[in-house]
Amino acid sequence: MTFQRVLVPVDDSPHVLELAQQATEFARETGATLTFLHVVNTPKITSAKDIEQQKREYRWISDECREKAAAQGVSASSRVEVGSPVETIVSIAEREKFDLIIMGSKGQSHLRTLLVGSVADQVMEHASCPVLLLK
Amino acid sequence: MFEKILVPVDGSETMERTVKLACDVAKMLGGTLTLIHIVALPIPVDASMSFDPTPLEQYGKKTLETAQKLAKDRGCNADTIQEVNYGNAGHMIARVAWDKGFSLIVIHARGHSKIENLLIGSVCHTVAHRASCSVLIVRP
Repeated sequence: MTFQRVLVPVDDSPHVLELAQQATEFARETGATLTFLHVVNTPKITSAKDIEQQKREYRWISDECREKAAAQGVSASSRVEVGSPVETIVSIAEREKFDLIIMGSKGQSHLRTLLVGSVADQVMEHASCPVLLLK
Repeated sequence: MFEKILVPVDGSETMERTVKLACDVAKMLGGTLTLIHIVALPIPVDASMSFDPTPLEQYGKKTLETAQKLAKDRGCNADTIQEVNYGNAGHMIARVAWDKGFSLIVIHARGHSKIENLLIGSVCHTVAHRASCSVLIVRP
């Protein structure tokens, strides 16, 4: 059982680079390739033009994660999708047969007493592959 | 990356896969493996009620032996812990991980839960939420 293809959901929260660094370390030690995925959460009533604009606007996050990983010799790609984060992460992982999802425990959540955010919680629940929850 | 890895075992069918995966992770990331079996006793409602944990402790010891052998066959020398206490298994696992400085818990999404449409069992859910270290959730 090895982890070859690893999906790493990222967002614009403050700890994302730390998460990306941990995922990079994991990949360095296991030889896995990483896909940094940013799902931009938008309400349904958005035009196609707005979607493309938002993808371009938010691209920098997953791009930066990929660049930092590549600088350490890890094979990584950057991807942006628009939609519901949980559904998108889970369906991409399943459809594209990722071996592992690495998630930070808190992204958009700001409550200090909350140990695991709602996106991580639901991905953990619904993913069909193993999930590594990093704290 | 993860120096001390804790693997809760419960004797369920899914245990074998979890132990094997934990061994692979330990070998790849250079960590030590510790298997833990929890006997979580119900808190007695009345002082006169008591609960004899012996049968569960024996089951636990056997489970730990089986798991240790699985790990050895996979190339890992694992330590074992048996924790017997009142309370909730998930909380107990999280507490042991905290007290003994484990950096990763490898746990199966569902062990003995018979409810088929339960995506994630209560112990796994509690551990994922309460543990202060990273948690790797393994699927069937």
